[in-house]
Amino acid sequence: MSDMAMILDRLGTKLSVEVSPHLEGHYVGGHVIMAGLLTMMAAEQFDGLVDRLLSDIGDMRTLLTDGGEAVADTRVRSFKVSVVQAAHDRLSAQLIDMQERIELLDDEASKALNARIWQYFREGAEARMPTMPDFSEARAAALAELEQAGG
Amino acid sequence: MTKPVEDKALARQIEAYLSGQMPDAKDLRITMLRRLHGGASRQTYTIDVEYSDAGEHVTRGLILRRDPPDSLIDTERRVEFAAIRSMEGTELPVPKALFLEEGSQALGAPFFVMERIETGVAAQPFQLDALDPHRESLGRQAFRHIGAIAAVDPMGSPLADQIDMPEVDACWQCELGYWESEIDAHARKPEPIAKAAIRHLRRHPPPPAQRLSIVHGDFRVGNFLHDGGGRITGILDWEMAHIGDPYEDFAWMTDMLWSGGDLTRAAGLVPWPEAIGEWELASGCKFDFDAFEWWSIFASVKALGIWISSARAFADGANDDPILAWSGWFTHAAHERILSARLSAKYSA
Repeated sequence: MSDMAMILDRLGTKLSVEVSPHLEGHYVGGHVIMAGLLTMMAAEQFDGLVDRLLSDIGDMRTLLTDGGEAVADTRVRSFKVSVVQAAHDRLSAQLIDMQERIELLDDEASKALNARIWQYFREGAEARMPTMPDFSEARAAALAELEQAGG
Repeated sequence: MTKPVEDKALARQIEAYLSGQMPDAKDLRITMLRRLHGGASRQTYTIDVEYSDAGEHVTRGLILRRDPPDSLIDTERRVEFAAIRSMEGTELPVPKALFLEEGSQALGAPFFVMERIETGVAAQPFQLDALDPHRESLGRQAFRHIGAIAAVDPMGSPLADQIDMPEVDACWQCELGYWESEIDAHARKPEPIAKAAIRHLRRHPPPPAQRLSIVHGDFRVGNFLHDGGGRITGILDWEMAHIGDPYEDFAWMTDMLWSGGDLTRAAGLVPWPEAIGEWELASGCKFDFDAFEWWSIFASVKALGIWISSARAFADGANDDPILAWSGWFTHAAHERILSARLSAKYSA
C-alpha cells in the first residue's frame, strides 16, 4: 500500500467510524458516511489503477488486432491517470464498434472473438469491483460509547 | 443533537402552503421538520404538523418530497403522485397522497405531500441477514405485493392520465429504448458492457407482455418499510412508476445486486418457487422463464442507466450528494460485473 492509499484509508475510517456517529440523525451525517465509504474505496483503487488501465489497454489492442482493426497508436507517453484513461477510452470506443460488427457475422472465428471480448469484459469488471468497506461494527461501538457518555 | 425544526425558513413556507390547502386547520404549525438521507431522486422531509380542527387538537405526520437540482432519476413528481393514487382502494400498504404542487412558487421547486407511514423501518439492501428471522415472510409479502401492483387495472387509473400506454408487444422496446438513450446521453466514457448488453437484448426480444400493468419501477429491498415483526408496512419510492410488462418489477426485485449474492432464493429472501407462486397468485400472470430472463438482464441494463446518470449529475456539479458518486462507482461496477458474468456465459466458445 502506498502512503497515499494509507492516508485515504485512514481518513475514510476516521469519517465513517469517528465523525459520523456525532452526526447521527442529522441529514449531513449520511453525507459523512458516504464520503468515508468513497474515501476508503479510493484508497483501495489508488495503488493499482494505472496498472489495471494499462493491462486493459494491452488486452484491447490484442483483441482489436485479432479482429483486423487498425489500432490507433495508444502508446502511453505519460502515466498520469487522465492520459492513460483517455487512451483506454479511445480503445474502448473502437472495441464497441468492432464487437457490433462481428456480432452480425456467423463464422466460427467471429464467434470465438466475441467470446474473448466477453471474457475480457468479465475479467475487467472483476478487477474494477471495489470492496464494500465494512465498518458497521466499529461504528455501532462508537455510537454505543457516545450514548453512554451522554453525547 | 438534531433540532426539531432544522430549517425554520422552509418550515414557515410549508406552514403557509398547508394552511392554504387545509382551510379547516386552524393555528397550523410545524413542530418537527427533518430532511431524510438516502434516495437522491427527491429531497425528502419528515414533518410533524399540529393544528386544531373543529376545536380538536390534531397532530399529523407528513412526508414532503421536493425536486432536487438534479436527481438519480429524471421523472416528474406528478407521475409519482399519480402512481401512488392509483393504488388507493387496494390492500397495498401505500401512503396516502395528499397535495401536488408543480410550480416553484411555494417552496422553490415542485413537490408533493403525502401522509407518513408511522410504523416500520426501511430494510437495508446490503444487509439481508438483519431481516432474520422474518426474511422469508417478508419475501413472500414482497412478491405478493409486486403481483398485486401488476393486478391493478391501469386503464382509467390516475397514472394512465399522466403517461403513455405502450402496446403489449412494445413494452420491452419502450423501456430498452428509454434506458439506452439515458446511457447515451449521460455516459462520461465508453460503456462497452452496457452497449453489448443492449444489443443482446434487442437481438433476443421477449414475448409480448401477458397484459399491460402498472409497474412500480423500483420495488426492491430498501424501498419498503417493515415493522421488525415480519410485516411490510409501506411501499415507497414510486418515482419510476410507469405502465408496462408485469415481469419488470419481478426482475428488478430479484436483480443480483439486491439479492445479497444469494442466488438460491429470490431477492435473497425466499425460495424461488414460493416467490413465483405468490406473484402468480396475486397477479394472475403465468411465470415464463424466457420472458423473465430477458427482463432480468434488462434490469441490470436499467440499473447501469441510473448509475451512469448519477455519475454525470455528480461530475457536472448538478447534484453534489455523495450517494450519486457512490452509485456511479460502486453499483455501476457491480452491475458491470453482473452483466458480464451472465452474458459471457452465453457467448462462451
